[in-house]
Amino acid sequence: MANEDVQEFDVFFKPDLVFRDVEYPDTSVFFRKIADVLEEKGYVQPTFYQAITKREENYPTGLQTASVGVAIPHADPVNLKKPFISVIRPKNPIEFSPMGGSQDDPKVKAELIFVLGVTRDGLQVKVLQKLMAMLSDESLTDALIRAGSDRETLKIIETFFTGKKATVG
Amino acid sequence: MAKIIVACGSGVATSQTVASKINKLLSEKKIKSTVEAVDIKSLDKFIKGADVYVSIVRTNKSFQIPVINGIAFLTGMGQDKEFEKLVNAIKEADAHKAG
Repeated sequence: MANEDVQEFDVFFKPDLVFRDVEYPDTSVFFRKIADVLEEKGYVQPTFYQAITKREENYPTGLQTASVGVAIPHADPVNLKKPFISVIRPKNPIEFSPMGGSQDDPKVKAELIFVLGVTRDGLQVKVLQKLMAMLSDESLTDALIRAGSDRETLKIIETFFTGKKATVG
Repeated sequence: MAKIIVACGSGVATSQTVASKINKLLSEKKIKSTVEAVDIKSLDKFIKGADVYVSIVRTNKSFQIPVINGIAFLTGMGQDKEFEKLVNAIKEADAHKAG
């Protein structure tokens, strides 16, 4: 059980896919930049940018949890090369349309964004459940928003996913 | 036994996560049902045999069966209320089948 949780964390979360304090004026700039980085690092296919843009347009992923506005954009697995979850805390919130809503609905101001590179391997359900549990916990979302380094961001997530004690210095 | 379908854009991430949560909540209440995650494009095919539709994406269609807000099960916001609606819809479907 504990080993599986460790595995989930290691499979999805990568130190080089945490981005903090970056300014993105809107989702289209955000998707262009993140797709370029993910492609350059070998996580996604060249089709990813088109796929995630179209997907977000048709099925938006903004979510208002009890504590914070978040977004979990993703594309069909065919556009991926290997699994990942990229964690982005933009300098200013990015406006996403709400999941289940349309472009005309009030936007969700996403302070935390998790780009999901998940496939149909069964792990995606566990990791997404855990992610949503984490995002419903105000002390954790506060900590993620305030985190002063990429390492601290990952440490908060690792502690929650694996149950390990935090050793943030 | 009532059949519940959950649909999202791909049938991979969100709908499966919501389906798994609903399964867990129902089994805690000892309510028997089948919960299936499908992609929105095959909704028409799957909705025929279903008793309840848990919706995560917007559609302009109207449905003959009860529709539950699936996002509540993702964020936890308003989950109790939606779950109560779901349980009532299942009970109604089961009663209908028995009668």
